[in-house]
Amino acid sequence: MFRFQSLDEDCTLEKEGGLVEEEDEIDQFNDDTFGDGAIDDDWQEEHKRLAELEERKNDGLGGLGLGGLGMGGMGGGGGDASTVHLPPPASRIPHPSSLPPPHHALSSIPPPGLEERGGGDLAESLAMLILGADPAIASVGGPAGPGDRSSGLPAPPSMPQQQHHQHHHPSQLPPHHQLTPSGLPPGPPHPSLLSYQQHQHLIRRGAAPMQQMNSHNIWENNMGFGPVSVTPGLITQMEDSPLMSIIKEVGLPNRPPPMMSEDGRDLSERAPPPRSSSPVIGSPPVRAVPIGTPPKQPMSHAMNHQQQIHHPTAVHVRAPVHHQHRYPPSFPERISPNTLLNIANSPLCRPPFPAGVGPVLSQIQRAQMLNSQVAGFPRGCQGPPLLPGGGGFRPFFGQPPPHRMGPHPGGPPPNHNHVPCPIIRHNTTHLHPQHRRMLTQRMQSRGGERGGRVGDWRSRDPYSNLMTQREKEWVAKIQMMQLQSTDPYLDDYYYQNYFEKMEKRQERDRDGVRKEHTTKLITPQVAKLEHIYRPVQFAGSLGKLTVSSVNNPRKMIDTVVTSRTDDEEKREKQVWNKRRQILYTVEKMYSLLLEVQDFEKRFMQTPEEQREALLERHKTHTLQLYSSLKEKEWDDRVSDEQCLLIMSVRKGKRLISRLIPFLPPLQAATVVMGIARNLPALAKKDKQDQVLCWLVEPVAVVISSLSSAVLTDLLQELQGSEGQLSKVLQNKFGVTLLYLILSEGERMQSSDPNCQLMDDNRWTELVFSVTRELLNVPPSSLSPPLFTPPNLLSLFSRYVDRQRLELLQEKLQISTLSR
Amino acid sequence: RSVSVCVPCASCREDTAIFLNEFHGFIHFLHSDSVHTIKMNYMPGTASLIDDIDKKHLVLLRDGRTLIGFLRSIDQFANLVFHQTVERIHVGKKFGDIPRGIFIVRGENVVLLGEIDMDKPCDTVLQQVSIEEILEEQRLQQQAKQETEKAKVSALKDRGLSIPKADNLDEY
Repeated sequence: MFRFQSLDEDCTLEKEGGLVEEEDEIDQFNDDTFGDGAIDDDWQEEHKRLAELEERKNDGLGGLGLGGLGMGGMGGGGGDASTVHLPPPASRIPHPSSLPPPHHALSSIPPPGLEERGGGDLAESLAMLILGADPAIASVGGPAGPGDRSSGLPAPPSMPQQQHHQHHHPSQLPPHHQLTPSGLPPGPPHPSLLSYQQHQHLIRRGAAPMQQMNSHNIWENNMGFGPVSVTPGLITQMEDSPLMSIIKEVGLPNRPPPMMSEDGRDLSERAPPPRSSSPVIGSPPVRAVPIGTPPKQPMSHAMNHQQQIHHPTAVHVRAPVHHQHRYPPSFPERISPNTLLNIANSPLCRPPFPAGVGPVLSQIQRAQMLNSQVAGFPRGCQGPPLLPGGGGFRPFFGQPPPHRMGPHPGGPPPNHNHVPCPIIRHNTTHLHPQHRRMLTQRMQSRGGERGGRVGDWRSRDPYSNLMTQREKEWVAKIQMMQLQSTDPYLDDYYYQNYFEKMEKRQERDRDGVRKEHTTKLITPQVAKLEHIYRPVQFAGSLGKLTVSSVNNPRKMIDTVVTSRTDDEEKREKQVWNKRRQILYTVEKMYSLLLEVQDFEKRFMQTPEEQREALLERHKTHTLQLYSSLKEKEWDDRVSDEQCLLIMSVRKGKRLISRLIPFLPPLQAATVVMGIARNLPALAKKDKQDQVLCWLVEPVAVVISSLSSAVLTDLLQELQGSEGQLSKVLQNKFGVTLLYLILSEGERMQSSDPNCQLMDDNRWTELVFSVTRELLNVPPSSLSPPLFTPPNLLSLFSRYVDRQRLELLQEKLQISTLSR
Repeated sequence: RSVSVCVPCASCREDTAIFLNEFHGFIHFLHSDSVHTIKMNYMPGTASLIDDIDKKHLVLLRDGRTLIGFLRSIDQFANLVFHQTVERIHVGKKFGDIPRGIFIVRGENVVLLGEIDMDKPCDTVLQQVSIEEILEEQRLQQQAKQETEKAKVSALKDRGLSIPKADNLDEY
């Protein structure tokens, strides 16, 4: 909601009579200087007039949607001076500033919308106004000079300039105002009224038309009256009541309370969040103002709130006046800023930014901007100083005119319209020396050739230097860095070649006059610095402590590149594939096994009839299990390979250990044989897992059921190849297995004297070799078994003599002890 | 606070007065009222967009759009910030401008970019029309193009040939 600075009621329109007189005076003065159609905007005068208008309107008129003024639309922006008085007394609506004057002759086209307006006087006067409107007058300057008003109106002393935007309550207005002061060229308060309403309307409708008009301003040489055709259409649809009611309800767009900026604090100077900066590249310069704020230099800080687009500015663009005649011959103290701006704006002859752009800039800001260039206006200035004691405008130029008359100030303004002179040595190390030479020659020759006009419009451009000098340098720095190369021939071959050729050509042409050029020039090579990023780390902390931002991204994750050759990769892949296959097999077998294991339970649960079926299933499963251990070609044999494969996986070992009890004895025996045979390999593979010992129990069971022949075979298998036994002994499981076998043999022998164990010499021999091995093996490498069967000693006693027996005993004891 | 000094202007060598205050970096003594425009040489010997800032440009984008606006800001990727942009649609001899406001163009989408010389007399045969009209024209043009394309494709199909659609080619 707008906040309104309610002025003293006194200040409204008491001095009307006097004002009128003075208006004439100043009007004349204006005309003298600028010819007819000068615009002065004094909001209070405007307000007066509009109030009167309002009265009239309230009397008999309906819509105030006086669109017409494409002028208003054209202006697109706001002025800042005139007030628009909006209808119902109840509503408190601020006065928008006056319209910016369009440069094209709008006056010739009366907005069609006007015709619709009913209601006598108002429409007439408006039509008159519009028809008679000079393009240059379109801004809603009041006829009177500001000085008078300021004298006449005892505005509160501390009221800053901005507050002219506030309006006083319409009800406070005296009923009668002169609508058009005499002597006033049909400059309109009404257009501003219209424009304001139109503004509001447009605001309701969205910014698009506004923008359109704005932009159209820029391309005005192309567009002609395009925008004009747009707006009346819009305006004609405007009705008073809906708009007003809207305004009543919703209020007008927000503006920051002017009181806030009273102390000149720039709202846009809120500090943005701190940004980290990269040490290498650097960040774009941290802005004191949020990005997107228009450049500071041309504007007063305190006037920022005027930048809002809702606010039509009145920038008066005059025909070009020589910029040296900036000041009127006499410099009255109370000259309206508008006047001053008119003076100052004179070089605005053909800017790419016609006044219409000026929504952002008020006249004052413009003048200030200009002033800053002229008078070395300190950049940090707070803007127009407060105007004490006067409601009108005072010259805001900080420095008194005489100062300006002094030595022609030429300091480069802080905004960087001025550029380093060619003498400045740039960093041209990246260039080919020939190139460098040419460049310097070029630059020197260009030294005096500059034209001035481009700088002119540039300096008037309110949006110029959005990109500050620092930012430009930052970008340039980045681009320069990209140019550095350690191998110029690789990076920019054609460039190098071209300049080499040029050099040669020059040498040829000069025919050796300048011998020094024939010496070979070596382009400077920039050392390629390895910027290895080392993240900041504190001692004792976990992880990396880094603040990373868009401008300095940091490496948070270490990705290590492991480059493997193709062969290695293939092998690895193969290994993994195989492993996966094994696991897959194991999984499948597991599921079968589990079913088999659960058979019992299920068997008990199922009713009689189904038991047979279940039994069948069970058998199938078991067979399946068994068959999975087999290789495909060999029907009956348990495949060693398969077993081994399975056993190579931890899961597989577990599986086998659970499986063995369910196997038919023959197959179980075969399995155990296989295990024994390949024990060293298994032991090796088991080093990580150490789970072979799971097999002890089932194997033990199997062994106990073995016949003597098989047992002998088993023992033989265990001893299989050379050195196998020693390896076996090194493995816990192996030792345990061995002992199991031996103890089984012993049990056989002791239980049954007729056992066939002794028939075959193999057993004896095997035992002998075992004992030999046991004796030979160093104690350290003898792995303690899981358990030592007690009857081993008796076994050995059969075969070995006392000495050895004792040694064996020691060994065994050691092993038993160390279990 | 401000001391004024009389020095020769770096550009035209005539005397100019300067105030020795608030100088940052280089000290360039030039006439204050920008009598001279110095071509800013940020990166001598290279092509840089820095000198193009705040000038009116025309940019052609990869999708075929033509934008005209004031180049306000750039970065190292040649991303462009255009101010008071107008999209200009050309159909035949007619063109129409659609004001677009502020445009930020990603650098990779720029085909070409050129400065518009405000001073050069504009003697173009092109005729400006309103937005609605140009959009209508454009629509008709697109329609006509599509129809010819369809006809072509069907003709080729009849002969057993199929040509992939050109608009997808860019993606692959």
